[in-house]
Amino acid sequence: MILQFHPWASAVEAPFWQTLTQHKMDIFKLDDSPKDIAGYYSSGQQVRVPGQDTTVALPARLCLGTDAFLALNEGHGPVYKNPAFTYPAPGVLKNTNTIEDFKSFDKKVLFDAVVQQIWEDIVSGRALTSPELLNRFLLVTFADLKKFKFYYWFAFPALLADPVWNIAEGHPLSQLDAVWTTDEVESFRQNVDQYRQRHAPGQSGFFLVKKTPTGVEVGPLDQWASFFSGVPEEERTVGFADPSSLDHNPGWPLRNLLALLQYQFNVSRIKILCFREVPGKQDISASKIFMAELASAAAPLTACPKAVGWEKNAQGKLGPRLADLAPLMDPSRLADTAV
Amino acid sequence: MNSVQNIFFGIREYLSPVLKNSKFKETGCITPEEFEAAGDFLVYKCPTWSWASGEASKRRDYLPAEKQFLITRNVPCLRRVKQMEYTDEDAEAQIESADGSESWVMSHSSRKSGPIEEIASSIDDDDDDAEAEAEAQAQAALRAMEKMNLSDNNPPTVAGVNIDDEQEPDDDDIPDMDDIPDIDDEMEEEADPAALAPPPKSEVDPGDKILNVRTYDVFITYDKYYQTPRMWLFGYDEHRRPLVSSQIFEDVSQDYAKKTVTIEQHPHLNMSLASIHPCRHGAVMKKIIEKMNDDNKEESTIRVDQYMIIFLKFMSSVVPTIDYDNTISA
Repeated sequence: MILQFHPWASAVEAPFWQTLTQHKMDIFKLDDSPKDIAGYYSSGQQVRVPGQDTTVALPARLCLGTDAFLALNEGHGPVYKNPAFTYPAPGVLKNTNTIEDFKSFDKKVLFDAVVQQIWEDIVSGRALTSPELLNRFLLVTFADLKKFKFYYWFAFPALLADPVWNIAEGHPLSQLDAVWTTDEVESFRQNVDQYRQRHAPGQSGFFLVKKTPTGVEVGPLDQWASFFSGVPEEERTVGFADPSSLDHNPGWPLRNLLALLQYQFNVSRIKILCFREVPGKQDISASKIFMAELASAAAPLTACPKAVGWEKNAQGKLGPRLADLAPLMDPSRLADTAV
Repeated sequence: MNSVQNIFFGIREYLSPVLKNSKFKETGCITPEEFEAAGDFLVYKCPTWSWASGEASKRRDYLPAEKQFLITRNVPCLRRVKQMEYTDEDAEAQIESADGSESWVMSHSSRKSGPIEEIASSIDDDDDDAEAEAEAQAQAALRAMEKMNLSDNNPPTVAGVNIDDEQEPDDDDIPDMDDIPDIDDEMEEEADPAALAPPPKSEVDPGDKILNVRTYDVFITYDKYYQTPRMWLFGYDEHRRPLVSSQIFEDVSQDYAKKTVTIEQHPHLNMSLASIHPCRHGAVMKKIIEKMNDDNKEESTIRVDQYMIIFLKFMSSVVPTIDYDNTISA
């Protein structure tokens, strides 16, 4: 069965637009060259419907807050200021000066540049030490400062696998505790917590997993060879913080992760652990595990694959969105709501 | 007018002395130090909450720079309040039948007689009634808190709510999507069989249209004038468009909407948000703390660092469908 991924849903916090406005007026001015920003995401959540026995899967949100611009410290690498229990995603912001620019500039060129960066990081191995680079995204904006309207369009580039990845026969997405013992789940939970504390935020969302006689160990991607030495290929497991909360579909970050594994380690069949937790509750029971497998034998990856990832708007079409903050920021409109 | 008011509030806050000595048990008010301690405890207990520093120019020097206010993001809000009110009746009936002897469950018929409405409408009245009002409001909050506890173990069933007559927001309220410029048709992507298509609504939730999942960013600031925490709300619809105030009022208990919930300038952000006015918070918190201390005589009394958790329970009687409570393990 073909492996289908739950796409990102962009989630801009309103104060981000305020921050963008200030940057535009005080720093960028008429400079519309791409700027580094950083977003964040948490693992997928389902919430119980009050009074019912059902749950609702929340969207896989990639969030952008007021710290988006602070997050890169020039010359010293990225400084991610994420809320607790979230993972970083670096991005590029292109803020145009006019609505005409927003409409007409060549978005494909910018998109391809981000795709190329992702590919180069995979090839160079930089994505092994800083796997958050797999989450690179693109945000195109136009800020209509007079009307407090913000036009925006996200792209979350994903390298297309050809042949596609399948869910391996007999290894569907299963609840972790249905496959592992309670002790193994608990050992894994503790070791993931330690792993996150000991490694950079950028590494916290991607890790290697193996079972040992003493428990379930967790290690960074760049220690693949030593970590998996002596571990049979069928038992090697790669984990990632999964923004999806769906029962049968992992989230978007897995796509570029699989490309990385395919390129760097010639992986064509691998166990994947979709790490999903309830923040602060020490509850990882929503996590899933399954086997991913290329649909057919593939030639080694040599050139940058094609990519997709522009976000659809509320109408389900490829197109920009609009955040109208006039009711909240426009002094003349505010007077109307005064009591 | 609004700006004049804001200036007045600003001056009033500036002139108010910073509360130094703890008197939270006597007054329900807390000092900035206690706000910090209670906030630290909340962040420790519920890590989805975090401290934020906000605008540098708006920093208050009686709080640490990195601990100006509390925030939790993307809080789900599954239903509108009016879809829930039937459920409340059921829950209250259940309380009565399960344990009618609860001394403080004052009036189950309150929804009809509406003490909260009276409070809310007479919120600016003279102080003679203030005591009674705070009492009633505390009772209402306690009742709401008790209901939440009950519903954890014993989820009430949702009564058939006719959601078809849910009013669409005015056309003025939602951004006119036609305003969005058409991007040239060349924006076509490769076919991508591995992308999960968004499921049709009916598949997500067969036969049940109530689940327009909104999300809220919830802020708690320290209100120096009232010497209590103050809650602010910023909401988004299921397509992540910011909610306008009339939509936010749909998520506020009708007893409070537009009376104690107002749109005002956030003290640490350059933005106006819905806020639950704190003018009665101190009195209500005092009553709740007294009741809780009475209820567990043997155990130790309420500590000030638990204040924020109690405050959040109190607030959830005002915004009952905003589920920020789901990670509180207290």
